[in-house]
Amino acid sequence: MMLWLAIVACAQEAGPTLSSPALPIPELVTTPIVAEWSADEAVRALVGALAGDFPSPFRIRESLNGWLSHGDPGCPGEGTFMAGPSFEGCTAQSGWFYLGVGGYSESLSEDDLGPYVELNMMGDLTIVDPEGASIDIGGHWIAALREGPSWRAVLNGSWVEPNSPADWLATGMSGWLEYAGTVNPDGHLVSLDGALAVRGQAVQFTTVNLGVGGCGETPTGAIGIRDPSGGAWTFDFGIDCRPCGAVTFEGQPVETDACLALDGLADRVIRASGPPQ
Amino acid sequence: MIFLLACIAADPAPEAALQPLNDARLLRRLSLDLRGVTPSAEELAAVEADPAALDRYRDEFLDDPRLEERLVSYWAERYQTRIDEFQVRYYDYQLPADQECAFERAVGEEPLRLVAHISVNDRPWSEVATANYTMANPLLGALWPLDYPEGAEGWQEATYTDDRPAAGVLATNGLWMRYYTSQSNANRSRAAALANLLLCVDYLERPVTFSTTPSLADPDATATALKTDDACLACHASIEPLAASLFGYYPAIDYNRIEMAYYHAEREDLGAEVLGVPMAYFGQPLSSPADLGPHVAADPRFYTCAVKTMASLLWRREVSIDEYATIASLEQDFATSGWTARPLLRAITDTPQYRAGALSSSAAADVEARERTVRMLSVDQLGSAVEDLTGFRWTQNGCDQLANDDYGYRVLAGGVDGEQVTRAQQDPSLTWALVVKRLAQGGAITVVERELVNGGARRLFNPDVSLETLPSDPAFAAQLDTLYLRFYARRPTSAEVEADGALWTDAASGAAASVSAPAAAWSALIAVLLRDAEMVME
Repeated sequence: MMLWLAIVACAQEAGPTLSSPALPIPELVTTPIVAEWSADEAVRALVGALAGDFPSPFRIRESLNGWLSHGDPGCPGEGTFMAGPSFEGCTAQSGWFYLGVGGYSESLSEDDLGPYVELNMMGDLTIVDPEGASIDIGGHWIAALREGPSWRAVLNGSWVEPNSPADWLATGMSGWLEYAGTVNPDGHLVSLDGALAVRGQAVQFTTVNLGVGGCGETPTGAIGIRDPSGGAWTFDFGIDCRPCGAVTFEGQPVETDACLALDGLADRVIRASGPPQ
Repeated sequence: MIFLLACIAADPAPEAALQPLNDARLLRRLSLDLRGVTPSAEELAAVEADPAALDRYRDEFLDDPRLEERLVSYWAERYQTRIDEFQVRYYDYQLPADQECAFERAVGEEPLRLVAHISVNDRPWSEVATANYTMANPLLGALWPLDYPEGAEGWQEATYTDDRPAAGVLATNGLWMRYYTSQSNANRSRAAALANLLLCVDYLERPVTFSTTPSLADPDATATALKTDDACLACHASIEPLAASLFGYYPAIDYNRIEMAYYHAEREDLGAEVLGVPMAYFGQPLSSPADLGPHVAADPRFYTCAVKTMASLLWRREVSIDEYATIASLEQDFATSGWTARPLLRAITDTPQYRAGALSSSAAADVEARERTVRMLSVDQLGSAVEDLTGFRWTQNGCDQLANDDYGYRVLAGGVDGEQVTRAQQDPSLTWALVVKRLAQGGAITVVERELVNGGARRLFNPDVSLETLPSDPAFAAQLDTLYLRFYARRPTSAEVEADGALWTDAASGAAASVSAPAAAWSALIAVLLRDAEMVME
């Protein structure tokens, strides 16, 4: 009792404690994320983001070839890989400006599955033409191409070329995606896993398979898209070839299934990921 | 009885151990701390005539537009974002070399400007973690995805247009360019920075038991240990979920301008995969990164940390654990004001710790070791005070030499570079004295050239002083009065007047033939007065 009294006296002497309950700490206010899109609008946005050409490392390679062709031996040097002539960049005699390190390379490698060609497109670079148009690369895009053909690719980073004829590159593309594809005699099969920001939309792939050998044009796995509110729409198709996916927003079920018209997506991914025919 | 004594020892009454500054020196400290300049002769005279004017001036200083700049400097010491080189450099934006300092300063000051802006506009402190806007200048407005107002000038509110969730300083590029991460670090260092800067929770101060930790050279074993080893989990159980909430800022390359300057909304959910845990705030699940700011703003530690940080910055020393009652009292003032910063600053300037000018004879040894009754001016205060008095700003190649370390002057003068030197120097040193000497010389030469040689508007010299004025003239003594008041907040003694006159005479007689002897003499005298301890201390 004596000890208890002494402690009380001490607390009174010392004034309020550090985390006094009397302090009006603001209450936790997390505004519930309210979808700005309906499920139908989310479907349209998702289909729109994935319509048209799928991002292609070969398109980047083509751009880089064109942009590097305006350089000279002194700036940024010869070949398909610029090694950064100086930190501040350099201007070639043509008036093109080159800054950073990067480019692309192709090499022949082999693993347990046999030989493959590795296309490595990496960089932290900016190239600016004399009119001020630019291409920016920040990251790497590595593809392993095998006979069959089949391939596996990883992309981490951002790519943007505002004047590109490819809309996905002109609007900028950013991602963290692993994907693979196989061309079978009777059709194509692709798998996608990760995140991709393309055509202004942020899209998520969770163990997605598409094409022959899977469920055809109906995917397995889950595909998501970020609502303008910041919330996530998810279309979960499972693994049993359901024609339509269960729809959730921020993890909460929405009372309708959604059918995504992803016709031709597997073909577009295949076309984008193999060398131009 | 034993327990009561223990209470007193744990919560010493500072007023018993500390003697306050006199009113004039206290006005000077308040002016330097809240405006960055010494008080005017009129302000000193007003306080001399009526001590009650002191608090009125303090309140005016809290309303002074220069307070915002002072807060930027204070918070720079805490956030450590005013560094000289970010991973992304000025040339990555094709900026010319003469914009290097402007770029680095703008990037580093973005979060500081936001904190200062919230403070001086009496916005609730919660906005530091929840504001849906940032502060930007025209340079940042041109380089980053910001809706900087067209045609505007200076630092303005602006909003990122890349879909990043509102999170105050936690949504600023400046913070994350300073606290960058790598793919293997996976935002952990950023989570630790968040906890340290906003909550005063410093993971690096926690003891770590390494005996059960696997070789850091084995990434798989290390990754497993982070999830299973109790010693690792002591920190990583809360760091990892916090880090997972920051993946919209997760770059593929930490020195690439588009990877670092843009929010990557598509990567928001990668954290759970990369780190193996869902995003959470100290055990509370976050449904999205947008929940992070509100959780910080509802955390009592966020407010206590703000109080401790501001008290520490104004007391120019660490807050002692013995001072918990004072901190709690300040926090009460902070709360009563609706968690706005200026009333907190006001309350801190009322504390005996702030007003201390000397120790009483009864001060205990721990108080003596802790208190800073005489404080060095920060390097920012030195720069702004000398500029106010003389018009001199030490620049080279467009860079403020006291605000960067290209040549090292900021650190040599006791400042913080944010990377190698993270605490402001508290005691004079040889390098500090050398920088102060050069600064004083620059200021003295500048003001003499401008006002006496070139006939410019008078900032420091009295109207009746000229190059013909001699120490024997009454105008000389009156000028010394002005200098002492402006520099030291007091008038000179007759002995000082005599000594300064002798110094002036010596300097004039020793001046090179190529220069005006009176100008050289005034420059020498003012340089000596400017570097005096009474000037460069508060």
